[in-house]
Amino acid sequence: MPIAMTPAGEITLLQMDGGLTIDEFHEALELARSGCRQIYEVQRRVLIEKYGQLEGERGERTEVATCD
Amino acid sequence: MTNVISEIRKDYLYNLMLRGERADGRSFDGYRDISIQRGFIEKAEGSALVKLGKTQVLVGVKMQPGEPFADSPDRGVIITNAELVPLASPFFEPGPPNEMGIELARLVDRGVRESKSLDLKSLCIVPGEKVWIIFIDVHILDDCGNIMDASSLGAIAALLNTIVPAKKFGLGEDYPLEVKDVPIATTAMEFGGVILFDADSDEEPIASTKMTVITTADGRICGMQKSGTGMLETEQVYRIVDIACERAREIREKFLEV
Repeated sequence: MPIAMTPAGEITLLQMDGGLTIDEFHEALELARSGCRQIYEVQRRVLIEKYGQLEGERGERTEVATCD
Repeated sequence: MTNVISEIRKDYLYNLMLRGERADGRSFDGYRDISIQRGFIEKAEGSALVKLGKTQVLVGVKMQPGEPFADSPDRGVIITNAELVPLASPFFEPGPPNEMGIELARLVDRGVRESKSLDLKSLCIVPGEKVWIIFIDVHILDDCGNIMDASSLGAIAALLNTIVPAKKFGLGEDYPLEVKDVPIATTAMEFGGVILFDADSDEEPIASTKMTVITTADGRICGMQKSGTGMLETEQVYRIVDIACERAREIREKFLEV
């Protein structure tokens, strides 16, 4: 069951095959939500580390990387 | 598919929704009238004509022996195909199936396959050499909205009256195809925070996103697909799934007891 979410928790992609009860589905969606959150945090941190720095080295504004 | 709708019609539908109404007077989770005519095509092994409001879908099932896939030598094969002929809607074009046609066929296929309504092992004739190949052909005759649910319903109804043509191929007497489950697909659309089920052709183009939920007879979910570019809140998804299960149960009880 692939799921994609925005940082605000809105679902942009959802696809499933196999068999799940409704309770299992709720559980899966909650797990996906926390998973998406974790990946988002990591991705955000890495991007800021990499490109925030580059911007800084060039002596330009670093705010660009920090906007949500 | 790019479906055009006038702004004035869109506004009208939106204003109705704000008041909790729909243009044809249904509730947000209400379905149009459904009728299923089984055995519509004599030459097919199984068939069904489904009418969902003015939407009409004809599904035919053909079976013939053929070679199994190398990775599943003892299992029958299901091939699902959808035809969206230009006659059915101003927005269908001639030529190879578009994105929508492929999604439709894949979802119908997913319902039949993932619900395990067909025991593929029982469709094996000689392991590795000969198995039954089931062709499910979905023909959209008239698209007045929600061809997804109509097609899925047609597919399972057609399978339910399929007779395996064993005699024709020298494989013993003909017998009815065993169907173990009845998957029902229900499709919801989202527009301006409102969830609508069984959207008609006026409502469909204003949807930002659609979600199809396929449930089995024991109330499990066996397939889901969100299509369109819009977003859904988690709560909305839960609500769609809950209502989908309820509607599917009603449709199953009314039309398709195994």
